[in-house]
Amino acid sequence: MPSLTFVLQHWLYWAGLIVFPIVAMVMARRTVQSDKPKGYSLWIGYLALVTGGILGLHRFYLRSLLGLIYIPLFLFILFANAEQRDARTAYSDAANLVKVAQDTIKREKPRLEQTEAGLAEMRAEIEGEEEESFARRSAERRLERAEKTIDTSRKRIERSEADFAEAKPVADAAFASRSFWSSAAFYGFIVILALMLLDAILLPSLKKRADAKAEEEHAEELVIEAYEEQEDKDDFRHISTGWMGAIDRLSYYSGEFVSYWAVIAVFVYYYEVVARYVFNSPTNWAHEGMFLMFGMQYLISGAYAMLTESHVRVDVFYAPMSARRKAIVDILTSVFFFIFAGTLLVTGWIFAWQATAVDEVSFTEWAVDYWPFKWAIVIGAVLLVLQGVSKLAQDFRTLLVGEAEA
Amino acid sequence: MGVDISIGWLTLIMFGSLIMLLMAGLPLAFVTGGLACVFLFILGDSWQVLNIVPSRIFPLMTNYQLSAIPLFIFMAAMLERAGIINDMFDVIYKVLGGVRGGLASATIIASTILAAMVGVIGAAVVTMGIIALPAMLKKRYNPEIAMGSIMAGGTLGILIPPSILAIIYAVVAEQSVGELFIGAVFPGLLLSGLYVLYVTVRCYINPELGPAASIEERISFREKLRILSRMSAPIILIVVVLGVIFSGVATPVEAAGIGTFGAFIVAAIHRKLDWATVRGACVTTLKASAMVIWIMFGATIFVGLYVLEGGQQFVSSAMQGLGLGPWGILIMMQIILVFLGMFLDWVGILLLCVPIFVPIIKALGAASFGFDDPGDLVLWFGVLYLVNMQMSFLSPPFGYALFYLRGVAPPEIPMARIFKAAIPFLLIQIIGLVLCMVFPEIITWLPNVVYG
Repeated sequence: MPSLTFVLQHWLYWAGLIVFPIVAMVMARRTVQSDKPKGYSLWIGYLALVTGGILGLHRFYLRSLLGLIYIPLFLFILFANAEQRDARTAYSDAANLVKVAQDTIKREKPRLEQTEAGLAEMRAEIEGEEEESFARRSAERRLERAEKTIDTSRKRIERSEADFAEAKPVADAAFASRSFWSSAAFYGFIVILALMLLDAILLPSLKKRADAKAEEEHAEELVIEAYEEQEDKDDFRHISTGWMGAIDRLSYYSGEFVSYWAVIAVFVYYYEVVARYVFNSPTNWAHEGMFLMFGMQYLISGAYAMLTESHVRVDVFYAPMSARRKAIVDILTSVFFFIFAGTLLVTGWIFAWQATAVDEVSFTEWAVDYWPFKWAIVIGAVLLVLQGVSKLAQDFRTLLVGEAEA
Repeated sequence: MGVDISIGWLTLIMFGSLIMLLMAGLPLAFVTGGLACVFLFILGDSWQVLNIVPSRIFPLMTNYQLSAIPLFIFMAAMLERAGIINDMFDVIYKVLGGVRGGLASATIIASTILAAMVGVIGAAVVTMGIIALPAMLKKRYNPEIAMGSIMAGGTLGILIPPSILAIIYAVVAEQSVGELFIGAVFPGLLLSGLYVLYVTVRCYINPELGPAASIEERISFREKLRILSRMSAPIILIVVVLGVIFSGVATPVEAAGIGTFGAFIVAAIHRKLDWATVRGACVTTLKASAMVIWIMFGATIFVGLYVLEGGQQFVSSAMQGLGLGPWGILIMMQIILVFLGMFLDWVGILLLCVPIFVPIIKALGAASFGFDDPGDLVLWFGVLYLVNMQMSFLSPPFGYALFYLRGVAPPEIPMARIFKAAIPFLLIQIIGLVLCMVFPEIITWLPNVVYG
């Protein structure tokens, strides 16, 4: 099986985080303006083929049940990969044993021979010494020791030979099984690739057939769609006029910008899982890159949620109040809001500067710079403070001018 | 300023000011965050203690498990826009058409299946409110049964895995997300089963409440099978997402990623995949996850400070001072949770209570609740908490489900009627909670089988 060695470069990561949302924002506005295309899209078909073709997803998209052919092939690859992984572990265990045995034999054999050779000399030495003499006794002790050494050496060699005899076939078998499953997975992959290539050519005709089969929409679906469209428009309604509107717009667009990052995460996690289980090559950047990205998203989205009133509050007394009362209460409680947002801004600034000063990077293989993530706290806090100012100004306007004009 | 206050007074002042500001309508995230800064300043020696704020927030930003939250919300938003909910209800109703109260049961069952795809409740309640409620009212169903089943069914979303609440609980209590997910399966099915049972029994006693479909409307068995096949895509999605989590093949985060990818495909099959749909789903996700995470930001600092000042021992000794045994303390905690559920939202309750409650429960020891393994105890308590939070969605005056439904129900239905509709289902939830407390095996059996 080919392995995927792609490592996301840091510049590409940052570029992706900036470029993709811009593209998405432009595209989303284009589709809203034109009428929604209700047929099947060739573009999506090819996208499904590239990303999920290995599972036959492009065929499911175009309502062709022949896509089911891909599933057993795909499962076969997963199975082969799992077998291959097991075989690899078994092989490395057995091979390790073989190597240790071989090393032991290599080390012990010359030692054994050397000691054995010295044995006769030692015996002669004992004979040469006087009985009961000190020299004789020490020579005897030396002989004894040499004999013991020979004994342990022999035992070691014996054991190692037994280990070798036992582990070698296991290692060989594991090696054979590993290469078998590896090529099996590879051929499975080739078959899938061939099918995908064929489908790439057939896709336009599949689309035509799917379009012919397409059903009409239910009335309820239209009701729900209308509800959803209303919901999307409602967000825009929160935007005020004048300079407060400018702040509101800033929160609105920054929120929409970071919201598209979720789409990136979907494809990256999918890539990670496919890379791990199909190509046996887990990445070292997917998880870190994504949770850090979401980390930035949480912070920056605070202002958007505030603009669209998505932060939950307790409504017992608040909800029934008149707009004027609400404005008064909001102005009073905003003190605590500004304490929080302001503290976050100032301490976040210190926190981020400290990281920037030492060029902090993450303690992982990917080693991405940490400071941008810490600056996201500052950006989030700035947006939040600005949004708070806008809200406060609107509350004062409500208070002074009255509800009707505000 | 380094002011010294005894913990008793501190508790009173901290939570007193919390309640006051909450009642004044400041969002929870800012109440807890703002108060945390104020109290840090008052209790700390210099203003520099405030530097704790970003250093508490940053670990949440870099928390791997938390990124499952936006992903699961995204998956739900995508499926919602793909029209899955609509289809599901339609299919199940056609299959159950001949049964009395069939529409209500279909709503509950569809919501249960839906709950296995989404971890939030808004989507299910709103969409069911749009589709199922008019359908039931047209068939002259009793509005209370109709609305109750929509709300109760939708609430299952945060209990049946994947559940956002379980993820947050796991992060806060430092537990395995997978175990919590799997522990919540049976309690979720239990509640769902009890709801269906209730609806069916009531409709059989009094057929006027939920008449069965007329003979002409019923469909043949063959037709039923054909319709069921329409549900194959979402069912496969559930099996894949939950399967990879439970088998340990992928982490919950990856499962959420795969699931959302699947939701894209499902949306494509329904011809709903375009940039406008993606935008809508992204923005919905952003709002929901920002709401959750910002409460975490504020509340971790607030509660962290309280625990640091010895709040946990204070609560613990106060509870023991009341002369309660372990079970007494547990029941007391559940009552506090139910009470808080009437006013506060689920994330807030979790973040305010769990860091204080879990160590107390742990300190009581596994043996005092009849467990051998301390892991089981924590898991059990976690799922009990999830079951308990079901009530916070339905309990008047401020259950979310009530307001979601209010937003889409016909205007002639008064709020009081929606409240009334929730009551029987609330009682069922209490029964479910008590069952889970008395028979802990409901919760602990499956995780022990799967994880050994």
